[in-house]
Amino acid sequence: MAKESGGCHVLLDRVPLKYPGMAPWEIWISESQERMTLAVPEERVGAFMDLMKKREVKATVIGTFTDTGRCVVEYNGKTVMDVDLDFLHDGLPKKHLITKPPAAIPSDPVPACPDRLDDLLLVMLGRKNICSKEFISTQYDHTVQGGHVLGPVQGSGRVQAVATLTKVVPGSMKGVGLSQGLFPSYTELDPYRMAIAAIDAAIRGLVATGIPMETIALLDNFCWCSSDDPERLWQLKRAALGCRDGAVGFGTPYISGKDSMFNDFSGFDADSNPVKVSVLPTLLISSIGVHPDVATAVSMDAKFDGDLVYVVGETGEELGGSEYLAHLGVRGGVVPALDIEAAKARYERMTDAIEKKIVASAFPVTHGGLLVALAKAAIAGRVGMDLAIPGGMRPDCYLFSESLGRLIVTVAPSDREAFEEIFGDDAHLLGRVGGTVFRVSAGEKTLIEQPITAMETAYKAPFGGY
Amino acid sequence: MAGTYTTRTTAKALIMSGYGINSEMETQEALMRAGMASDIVHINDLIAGEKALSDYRLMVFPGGFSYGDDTGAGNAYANRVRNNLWSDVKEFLAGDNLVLGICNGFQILANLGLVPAFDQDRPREIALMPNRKGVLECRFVTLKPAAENLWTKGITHLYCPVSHGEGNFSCSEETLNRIEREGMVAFRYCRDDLSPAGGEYPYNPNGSLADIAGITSADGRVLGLMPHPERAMEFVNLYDWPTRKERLRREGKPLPTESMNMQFFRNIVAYFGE
Repeated sequence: MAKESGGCHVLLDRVPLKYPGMAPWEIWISESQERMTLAVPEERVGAFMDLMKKREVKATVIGTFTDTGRCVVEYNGKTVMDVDLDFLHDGLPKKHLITKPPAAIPSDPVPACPDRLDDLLLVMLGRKNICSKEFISTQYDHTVQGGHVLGPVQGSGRVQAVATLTKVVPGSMKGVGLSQGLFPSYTELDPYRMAIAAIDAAIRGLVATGIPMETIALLDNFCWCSSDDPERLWQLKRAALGCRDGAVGFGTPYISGKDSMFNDFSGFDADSNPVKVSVLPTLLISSIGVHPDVATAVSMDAKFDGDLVYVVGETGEELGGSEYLAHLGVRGGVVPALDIEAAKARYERMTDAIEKKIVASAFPVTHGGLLVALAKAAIAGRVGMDLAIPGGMRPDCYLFSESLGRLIVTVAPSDREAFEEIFGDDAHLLGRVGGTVFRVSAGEKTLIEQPITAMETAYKAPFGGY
Repeated sequence: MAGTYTTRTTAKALIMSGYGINSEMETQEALMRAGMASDIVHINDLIAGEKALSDYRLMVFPGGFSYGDDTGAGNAYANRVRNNLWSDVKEFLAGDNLVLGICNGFQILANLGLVPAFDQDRPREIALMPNRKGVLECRFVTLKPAAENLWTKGITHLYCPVSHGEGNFSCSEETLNRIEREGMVAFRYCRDDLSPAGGEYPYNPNGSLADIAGITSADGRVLGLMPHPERAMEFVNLYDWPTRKERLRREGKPLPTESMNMQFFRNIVAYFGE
């Protein structure tokens, strides 16, 4: 704040303390929360302090903003700091850091695809990154201020969505959508693609509800490890490049962000050997966008028997860092890449289709791939599906690949023509909604036949007792 | 959009504020849409005499987390009312006025003894205990009126969120019997088909005795309600609206704009009349 005026004069002894005995430097740099600083014009200080008193808010005048070009700090009448403001803000000498790409992680062979995938489906639905964490969502007050439109849990089957939608101005039909993307398991393999994946997922989550891309803005939150480690710093550099290319490519600006570096632990193990444990380099991309009319918003749950099930977008054999390979304990693989221009065109079509009210449900494909996304839409709607997958790829690879840019969509039969006209070859019809059983086949062969109730149980079991 | 709603009564509502109450604005919006003007007033401004309770006909304690729920939800705010405004409140209760407490407001009313208020002494006879699950619960619930009174008129059911950690309605057997006998249970939690919840989670979200979601005072002019009808004023606020929307679209029917919960606020406004 002092940068704006060109200086400040602070009286440290006036700062209210939680406990006595703090040295001046401790008071100066303490990060105690639930405090805020305000600049109030001198002639309004009386009125301001009166209001604070009426609202029983503790407020203290601790100094003045100046234009002396210096930051002066006093404690009990004694100057304890007098620093040139320019030095304070820009005086830190530039540090020269070194990056080095880490050794490539070898790719293990993927074991043969099982004949039936029923057990795999249930196990995947129960994985911690995929299963229901509803007990957390329901402990968070997401209905306050009366703006709830699409909540963190959706459908009669109560599945966790990836985006929420909230009306913020009572008299307006516009809404604010929030979503996010997070793929730390991709970082060690390809930090650049990891960042692109997070950006794409954050945008796609909003697009699926009907939010146009041009209203979307992003936040980048890094939780990284030591930047003194050249390999970690190389990963950070690549992730930052991905952040730039993703945001520029989609035309979605960053409006904020945050970083937490040096999340490393150095110590000793049980046998007194030195150990260093670092957090998986993690980038969370959050997204915010404006829905033009929430009455046209689309939820994730499949809705009515007979509706058509599509996947929009292309599936490649991109299993690197995937939930499937993590389940198998297989290292390596190809991290999903994205053709941003193709994705943008697809998302624009999606906005168009939702605006035309021909989308009954939409849900982005992310962790766990197509099969998990389809299962979640079915569980959310408590309706079965009868699906046939194309040949040409191993069924498990096709179903668990985490290729980016894809959405699963259900459409009323009467809207088939209009829907296919919008998406053309980019929409792949997989089957229909209906019944109480989730069935997936490849050619003549049945891969999965599971009651929706069993899938719901598997999805909710891991944290069911909370 | 303010001003596009017709005011249907000259009576005015006072919406209490301060110390962590956080649902003032949607409460004001719901009343405005039903046709009643209101002021959001910080409790300290009432205490200081800058605003007077006697200028209003409806006093609302909205939801929130007053005093961080420390020392029990609603307890500290109730003490502030009792220690500073008690004679004004008693005078207000003696007149032809209404008091509504939602969620944290209900907890405040319970601590003040404004419900059930079998007699003028108003001892504390009920408690909103911690939810049986032990955590805050934010989810939609279905409510069915359990009495015919000014608050429940014309309502078949409400469908709106609860969002509280302490909503487990508790009292002695004697008090419960009296509340039941005198028809003071206003709303009960029920299943989707409006059959009794029978204490079963999540239909009864907190373990409340006899599925009680809200009760009135003995004279019927004070209502305490745990769920939040003001948080689901519109069709698009309802948990299951996307399915309803898609069904209506396929049937070629228009989407409703408001929800069934608005009837609750209309009833309040209708009580005061023009």
